[in-house]
Amino acid sequence: MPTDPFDLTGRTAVVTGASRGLGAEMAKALARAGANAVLAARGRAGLDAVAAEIAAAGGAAHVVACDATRRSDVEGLIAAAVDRFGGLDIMVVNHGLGPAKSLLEIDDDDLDAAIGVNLKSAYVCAQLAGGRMIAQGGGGSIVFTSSSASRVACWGYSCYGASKGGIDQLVRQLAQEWARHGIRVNAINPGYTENEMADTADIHDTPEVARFIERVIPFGRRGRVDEMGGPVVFLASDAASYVTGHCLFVDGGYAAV
Amino acid sequence: MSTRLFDLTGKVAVVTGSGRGLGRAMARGLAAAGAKVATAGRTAADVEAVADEIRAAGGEAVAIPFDAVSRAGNRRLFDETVARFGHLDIAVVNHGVGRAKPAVEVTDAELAETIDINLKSAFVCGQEAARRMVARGAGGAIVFTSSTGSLAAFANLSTYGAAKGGVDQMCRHFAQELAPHGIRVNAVNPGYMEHRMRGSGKRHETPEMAEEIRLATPMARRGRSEEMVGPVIFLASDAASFVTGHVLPVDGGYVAV
Repeated sequence: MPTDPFDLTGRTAVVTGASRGLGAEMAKALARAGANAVLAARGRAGLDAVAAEIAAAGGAAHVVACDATRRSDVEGLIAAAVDRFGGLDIMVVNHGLGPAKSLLEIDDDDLDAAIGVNLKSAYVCAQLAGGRMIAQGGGGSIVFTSSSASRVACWGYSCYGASKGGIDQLVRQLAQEWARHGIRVNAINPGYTENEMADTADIHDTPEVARFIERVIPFGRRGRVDEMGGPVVFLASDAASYVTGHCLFVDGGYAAV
Repeated sequence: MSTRLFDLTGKVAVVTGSGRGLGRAMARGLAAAGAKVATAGRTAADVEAVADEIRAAGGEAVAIPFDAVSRAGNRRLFDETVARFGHLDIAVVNHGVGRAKPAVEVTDAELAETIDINLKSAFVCGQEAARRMVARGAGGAIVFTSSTGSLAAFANLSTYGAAKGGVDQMCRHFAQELAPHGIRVNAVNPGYMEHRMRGSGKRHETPEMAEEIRLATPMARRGRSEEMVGPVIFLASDAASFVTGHVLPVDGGYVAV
């Protein structure tokens, strides 16, 4: 191809929740596409392993251990990315947790955790990333990891689903507000996936859920974590230059049925 | 740097309505990503010119003039593609017509034309493509060109919007039925584009319309035909291996607001 619209060479991407699961795969995919990857999560050990994989494949990675639920930590994360690679072009707000319990068993701690981590801290991450992109002259791409649970009901996910429904609407709001600065804002919405999300209960490992996935979801299987890489590279890249405010379902057809 | 997830080398693609506009850009883009492309459309000179452009750029293409509303024409299109390139991996069902008229003034003939071309013939085209993909047993990807007119109302486009609403739902039904065969089915939904669609008249070129687009589209501009290329390559490629039954607006944020 003469010019590859998916190429991210020279761009700097921050990925939160990058020590494992979807975030680790997204960071690796962004790095493979040429981006400088800044990996953020609470635990340094997991991050170092992902960074080593990226470096071994010839990519550039930088690790920042931080708590994405603290505003000052996120400020430090973005400053570290700018310090290390000279700017911020792509922000993947991916960290999250999924308390899965029946509605009547959800307590205030669960509610605070789901709304506080999945929605409130995602808001702060985007706010600070967008602020930096605007300050450096505009342009950039923000991608949230939402969930198919933002649109369709999923066992035990009443508060998780509510937090992700908030993310989808945040995507649309920010897309409108920041389009004038050349910043695109989108989400990818994974369905049932093979990874283990933080705090996901056994409620999704039952034979009943396995039957549901096999019989109801068109693809009849869970998504692999590496299947999130293509969608995030697409949304982060110039290939999606006229795509903003969109929630891209990566769910094997779950939300379509 | 590697964006091989998006590479279409060795794949065979048909793009209908590829004599001009979005289809022309998509056909050229798929070819640049490595696919062998059959350019299909009503006007022989147009599709031949696009095939020539692809070959001049070092790609492989065959021009197949065809009548989209004819079952026999659709059969012949895919038969000739398979005869020429050996198999079929990607079908981009892109042909369409958009006549603007107040709903109360629409005649039976106009209603029939819009539904027949945009919905019925898209069904037949997708169906004939699917038959060949199922028979081969190697999966595939079908991408319909829908429209933001399927999701939001536009003045005087009631018949077109109804047809495209049907395309979105057809996309979900096709996705569900074809998933067991490894065939993914998705849509791209362009918003206001620089290219004027067949039949759409000059209404879209007035100063009033320019002001409406500026106000209603977060990105405050029309999309370029080339901006459909990335989304189509993404959906056609392995990068979207867990994406099916999805409707992807490429609209500068129009339907998000």
